[in-house]
Formats: sequence, C-alpha cells, structure tokens
Amino acid sequence: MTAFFRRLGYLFGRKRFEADLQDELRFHEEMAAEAARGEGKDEEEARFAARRRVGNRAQVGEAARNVWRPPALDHFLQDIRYALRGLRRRPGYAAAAVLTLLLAIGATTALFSVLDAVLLRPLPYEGADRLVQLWEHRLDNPRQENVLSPANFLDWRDRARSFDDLALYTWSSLELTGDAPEMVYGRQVSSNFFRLLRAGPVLGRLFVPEDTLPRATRALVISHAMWVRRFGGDRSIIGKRVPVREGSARVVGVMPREFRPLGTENYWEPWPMQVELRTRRGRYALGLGRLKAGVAIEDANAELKGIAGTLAQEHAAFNSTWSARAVPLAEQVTGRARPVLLLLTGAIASVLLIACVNVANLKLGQVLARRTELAVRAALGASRGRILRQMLVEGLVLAAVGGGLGILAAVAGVRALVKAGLTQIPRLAEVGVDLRVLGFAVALTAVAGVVFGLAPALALREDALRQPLSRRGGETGSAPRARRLRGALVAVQVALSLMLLAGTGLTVRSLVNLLKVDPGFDPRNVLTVELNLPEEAYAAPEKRIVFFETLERRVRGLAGVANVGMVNFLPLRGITPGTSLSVVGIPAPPVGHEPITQLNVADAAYFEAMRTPVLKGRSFADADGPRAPRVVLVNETFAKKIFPGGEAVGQRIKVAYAEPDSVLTIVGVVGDMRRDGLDVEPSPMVVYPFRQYPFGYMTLVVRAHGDADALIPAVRAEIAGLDRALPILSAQTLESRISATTADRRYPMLLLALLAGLALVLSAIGLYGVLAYLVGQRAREIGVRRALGATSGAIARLVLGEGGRFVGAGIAAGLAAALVTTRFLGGLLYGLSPNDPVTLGLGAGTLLGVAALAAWIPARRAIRVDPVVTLREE
Amino acid sequence: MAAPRDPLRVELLPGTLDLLILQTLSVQPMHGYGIAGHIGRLSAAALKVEEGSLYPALQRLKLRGWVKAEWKLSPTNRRARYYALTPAGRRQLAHEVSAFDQLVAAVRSVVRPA
Repeated sequence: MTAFFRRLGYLFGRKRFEADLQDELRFHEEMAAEAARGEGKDEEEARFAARRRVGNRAQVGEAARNVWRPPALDHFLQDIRYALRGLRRRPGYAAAAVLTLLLAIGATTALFSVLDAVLLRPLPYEGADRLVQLWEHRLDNPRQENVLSPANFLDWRDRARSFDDLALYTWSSLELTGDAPEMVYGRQVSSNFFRLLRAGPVLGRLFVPEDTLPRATRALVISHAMWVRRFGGDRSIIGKRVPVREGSARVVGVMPREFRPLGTENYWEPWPMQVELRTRRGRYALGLGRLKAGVAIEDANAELKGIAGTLAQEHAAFNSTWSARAVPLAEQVTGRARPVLLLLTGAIASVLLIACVNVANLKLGQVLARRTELAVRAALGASRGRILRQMLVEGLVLAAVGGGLGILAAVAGVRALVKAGLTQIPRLAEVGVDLRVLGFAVALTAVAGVVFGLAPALALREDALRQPLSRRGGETGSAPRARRLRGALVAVQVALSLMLLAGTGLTVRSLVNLLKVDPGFDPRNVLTVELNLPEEAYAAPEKRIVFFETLERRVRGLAGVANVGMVNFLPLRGITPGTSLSVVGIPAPPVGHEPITQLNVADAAYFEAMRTPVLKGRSFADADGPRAPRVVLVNETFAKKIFPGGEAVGQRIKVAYAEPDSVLTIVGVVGDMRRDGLDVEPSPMVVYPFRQYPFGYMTLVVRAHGDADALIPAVRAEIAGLDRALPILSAQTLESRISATTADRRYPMLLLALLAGLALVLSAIGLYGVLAYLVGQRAREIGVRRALGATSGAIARLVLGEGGRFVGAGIAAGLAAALVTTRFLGGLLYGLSPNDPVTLGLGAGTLLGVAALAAWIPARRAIRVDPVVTLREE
Repeated sequence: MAAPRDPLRVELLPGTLDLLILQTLSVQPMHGYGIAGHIGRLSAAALKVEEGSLYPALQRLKLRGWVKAEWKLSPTNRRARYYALTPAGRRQLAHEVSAFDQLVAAVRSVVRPA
C-alpha cells in the first residue's frame, strides 16, 4: 500500500527523480575517476576507466527508473506510441480504416439517435406505459380508429373498472384578433386531462371549476411554443385578457416546453362534462385513459369490448355496428412509423456490420502483410500475448480516432436528419444527441477496437508467426486459408449491401409508382388559400356567398390567373367527412348497413380550376341558387358503387348531412379525385353546390398561368380589401400540400438510400482492398505466368475471377436474404411486390458494376506487372 | 550487449545484493560509491558490485521502504546522496541474514555432509 503511494510520488515527481539520479551517477563517476588517479593513471585514462565502470549512464538510469514504473501502464503507452507510428507509416490503410469507422459510427449514431428518440424513449409523462388512447370502430372494420361519441365515453367512464381515470377532449380553434389576426388550433379538454397526464404548468395555474361557469370568460392554458411565439415569453401574461373574435379570453397558465401530448396544439380550454353530452349525437371526440396498476391492456380491452357490447344493445340505433378499443399511447404516437423505424434499425445494423467487416478485413490484410515483422519480433523474444496486445492496442487506437471523428459526424448528422424530416415523423422534434446515444457510440467503438484488434491476430496461429522466417518474407501462395477468410468477409459485405440495395430500390420504385398515380386533378401551378369566415360577422348565408363570389371575381381579374374556384375540403388534406345516404325509391337497408359517402362543397369553377372533367350530365349552373331545387354532383366511384350498371344522373338521394330531409337530384358525374392519400382508392363522394350550402370555411383554388406562389401577395391584398380582419389560415401551392402527404414515405426512403449508398461504398473499399492485396502478394507468380507467355486477358481473368468468386457468392446469398427480408417492407410498398424481380435484378446489377470497378484497378496493376522486374527481385 | 565478466570474480547469488547493501548500511549511512567500495573491500575484492545493478537495487530498496535517501556533503565536500536504513529495513536485514544463514547451512550440508 505504502509502496503504491511512493510509486505515485514518483509519477508526479519524475523530473526531480531524473535529476537526482543523474547527479548521483555523475558523483559516482567522479569518485571512481579520483580513485583511478590515485592509482597513478593520467587524467584521460582515469576518466575513461570511470566511465567504463559506470557503463552507459542512460542504461543504468533506465533500469533504476523501471523499478518505479507501473509495468502495465508503461507497456501500454509504448504500444500506443508504436501503434501511432505504425499508422503513420501506412497512411493508406489508416485512412481507409478511419474513414470506414467515421462513416459507419457517424451514420449509425446519428440514426440511432433518431430511432432512440422516436422508438425507444418513453413518452415524457410519469407512468406513460399505462396511458392509452381510446377509439371506437365499426364491427366490420376492426382496424379502423374512429373518434368517439362523448355519450359512449361517459358510459365507459361510469362502468369500466380497468382505468384509474379517463379524460375526454376534442378539437377547438381560436381566432386571435388585434394587430396580427391569427387562427390557432387547440383542444377542449375535460377537467381531469392534465391530472391524467400528471402534468402541471410552468406558469400560472390549470383550470378551476369557476372557469366553466356559464358567463365566465374563455380560460386558456397555452403551450410553451405559443407563449414564446405570440406573447414573447412575457411572464405577466398570466391573468391578462387577450382580444379574440368573440371579445376576449384569459390566459391562466403556460405549460412546460416538453408538454405536447397531442402534437401541435397551441392551447387548451376547459370542456365541462354537461349532461347534454350524454345525448348520442355523432362521434367527434377523443379519449385518453390511464390503466390501473397491474391491469394488462388485454384485460382493459376485454372489459371495454364488453361494455361496448352492452351499449350496442341499449342504444341499438346508434351503436349496433360499433365497438371500442384502447391502444397504448406509445404505440399510438409512434404509430405507422414503427415498422419503418424497425426496418431502418435493421439497415443501420447491416451497415455497421459491413463497416466492421471492412476494418477487420483491412486489419487482417495488414497482419498478413506484416507477418515477417511480427515473426522477427517473436524471434526476438516478444511473447504471443505481447503481440496480441499490440494488435489490440492498434485496434483501439484506430477505433478511438475513427470513433472520435464519428461522434462529431453524428452530431452534425442528427441536426441534418431532424432538419430534413421535421414535420413527418412523430416526436422527431425531441431528437438530440443525448448521453446514452454517446454511450452507444463509445461502446460501439470499444467493441470495434477489440474485435478489429484481436480477431485477425488470433487467426494467426503460433506456427504462422515463425513460418515467414524459415521461408522468405512476401513469398508466393500466401496463406490460402487467410485468403479464403478475406474472400468470405467480402461475400458477407456484398450480401448485406444487396439486401440494402433491394430495400432501397423497392422504396424508391414504390414512391415513383405513387407519384405516377393520377390524382384525378392537375396539381401544377395551383395556389390554394384556406379561409374561415367568422360566424358572427357572416351569420347570414347571403353574406358568405357575396364575400366568396366577390373574392373569386376579383382574383380572376388578377394578372396571371387562369381559373378560380372554391371547395370546402381540398383533396389529400386528411379531412374527409362522411355519412350515410339513401336512394329515393329503393327500400333502405337495415340500420348500420346504409351506403356511406364522403361529402364536399364546391362551385362549378372548382372543377375547371382542378382540371377534373365532368363525365356525364352537367356541372353546377348559376341557376342552382339558394331557392332552386337541391342538386348535387357525384364522383365516378359513387356512380359505379351506388348504381352498378345503372345511370346515376337524374337519380334522387337523401344524405344524412346538412339538410337530412332534402331530396337531392344528381345532375352530373365528375372524375374521381384521390382524397385520402395517393395510395388509397377513391371512395364515393357527393358534392354540394356552394350557392345552396354556403359554408364559411372554404379554400380558394387559383390556377395560375405560371408560378402559383408569385400570386400570394396579390391574393392576400384582395382578401384584405374585402375584410381587413379576416385571418388567412394557410396559403400554399397544391403541389407542396401533396408532397407533404408523401413525406412519410420520402423520409425513410432518403435514410434507406443513404444507408445503401454507404454500404455500397464500404463494400467497394473492402473488395478493392482484398484484390489489391492479392495482386501485391502474387506479383511474382503473375510475373512467372507472364514470362511463360500468359496474355493480359488471362492475367485480368485471374484477378477478376478471384474477385468474381467472392462477389458471386455474396450476390447469391444476398438475393436469398433479400427475398426474406424485403417482406418486412410489404405494407410500405405501393404498386409492386416485395420480391419484385426487376428491383432485385437492378440491385444485383448495380452491385456487380461497382464490384467490377473496384476490381478493375488491381486487375490493371496485375496486367502491368513486368516479369523482368519481379523475377529480379529474388 | 553485456561486457565480458572478470572470470576471477565470484558471481553474486541472486538476492544477496540486497542483503549486502542492507548489511553495509547497518554500519552507517553511505552513498552509492561508498557502498560499492565497502562491499569490495570487505570481501577482499572477491565480490564485485556492478554499478548497473547497484543503483536499480537501491531504488528497489527505497520503493519497499527499507532505506531512505538524503543529499548531504561528502567528506571531500561534494554533494552526494546518502542512503540510511529505516526501522523496516533493519527488520528486513535481520530476516534476510537468518534466511541466508539457513541457505548456507543447507548448501554446506549437501556439499560437505557431516
């Protein structure tokens, strides 16, 4: 123990120790010289004798120092120095290895950060694993997630025993007036909503019962984002009144930054659970629940299903075809992204594996090339353990350099990934490089170091260390076993790369298919402007007609405008109201089995602006005014499904919507538009004429002759000219709205393509490394062959054939593996099968091309081998 | 490479250098040159202490806490590092002397059986 401290004392007082030791030895020398002089030797002789006695002062000093040094540490430092020197001497190898590590560790850490945040990290709520989202669904469509009837919800809350608490909420909007009129969206929530999520405000308070008194001012708890954006983070906002359309509202609290339970809501307001909610009238709310401790989700679902069954009997008209279900919130939030994320995890693991193989392969090549050096060291007394340790340290040094750079790359990568996909993947905004991810990277680098360092050295058997000395360094026929091993490693890389290429190819082709889908309208050069007329100012329907028709006329007069129409719900907006209908003259089917149709409101100019044709009958006409007979248009799918084999135009229907008792005459059939997604077949649709159903929420559709974006300022000016206080909910081109709907495919595709590209590059490096080594080792053999008259073609065939064997084996294995793994892509593909032969063929072809390129350089070098030079080297 | 040894000199038994140093220092504190000379003189030059082993041995003894070192002026007025036994060193000397006696007795009983 005390020896330990004395040793520590040495480590910190090394300079002093050295000086003392040198002084002491000099003293010894002088004394010895003096003694020699006393024996009668002359000055020079005396000095020489003394020096000979003490010997090499540095050597004696080293021996004395070694007494004090902790032996392991000393060797370790020596190994590191040796490793660094070795890497400097082989810059090509060092660069390839470090680059491989940097790419692999950087990319995988960045992607892992994203996955970690989205897939693995729990929701930021206490006991989040017990939170569930509640849904209703039709019995004939159990996978559906339909919003709830508040009446049913309240019955569940009264009867269910599986939950600690159940909270109800629905959508809400707020029109902020004042200097910057703005429409913001939020949620109306039952009083226990925050309690259920175990969340509290950072500022102010949550709701109190007084907030919901009949004459109380609208009370708002606002999100952190809105507090910063709209109110500049002003702490005195609490309790203040802010101007809104109906007068004023009060901000009572601000939630923490990380509290965003439902996505993008700006505020929450109280929703009193009044008795009127118990009347069964439509499904329009959402429910959250907290499972009791110890209750499994399956048990809760069984109970919920039972209660729904009872309610189906008690309220047959409303509930007979409906049931209910709870889904864990984590699953809900990650939602559809989950299979994609799992897929990407697999891809990341593959790339990492390819990189590991690459470095191991490089390392193995190095060990083989350095057999002579290692054998000399072994002969000079280095133990096998010492040599293994040196290999290990070399691996660790490589891993540390590559890993350190990789971590930097990861930080940059996460930023880029978040930027590239901010709006598509749920919870992506929460992503950052955190310490656990850093830990992952460090563990990865350490493991990589150990594996890279030891595996190839272990492959080198004891006798292999001595062999090169008994023959001669760099002989012919170099270790066929090691060559086969390297070849097998390349084959593994090729197989993994092919899997990734196949996956990428499938997602790319799927997206191309999707973009080739005819949406039923022409989205180019179309500007869309979303407006919502406030109910108070535009209570009279005539006012709404006048406003929108005036606006249409004025915008039509702007330079560069081709057509202007308007519609209630644009296609591909994710909002599709639907309801049941009946055909006049046909007996109604039993309750719950009526045909269903989607609904929309538009004017005739809308179809012209969208370039959607009227296929039969006529479009809306000016005569279809407020007091005229009710008319509608239907889409092609409606005509085919509701009147199979018959004629839709002229039929009369009733729709359980705005005026459920009105008889509506179908005057025309228009082309289908894809409403729910480019990959979703169109559903039946009924379109009401705007002049008969003048909604306040409409979207202006402006077809431009050229760039649609350029029209935005002029259209804004026209709107302000009609109503200065009217907020514009959104103004963007139709194309950008559509591209947002394909974003959830494009983002994973982008990541997958990045990974596949990385895999391809790494595999090419691997193949090149192996073949280049091969040519170097067999230069003499090639020289002999040339001397014996082998042609360039034969030499090239020799090298390419060697590479071709590895690559061929890899492609065969990769195709087999791809057939299995691409099945996981199934649900994400559109318009092609996971085993699409064209894609697999293209993947294999690409790989072959890159492999040929990687093999070409070594092959060319082999052709240029000069027999005279190589033979003379003997 | 090691220098050729003087064939007339007796090689030290392994481990005995420590014993000799401790024994020397038990008389009085001494510097390295003095220790080497003292051992040579007492053994009538039969035991030659190599400087290459003496100084590492001194450091070894110091590390174990058996000797301590101090810079002092030598009788010829030079700065020299003097080594002295510590109490632990004194105990160690007693222990090594008895161990050596046992070894010598054992060797003698083999070489010249009584």
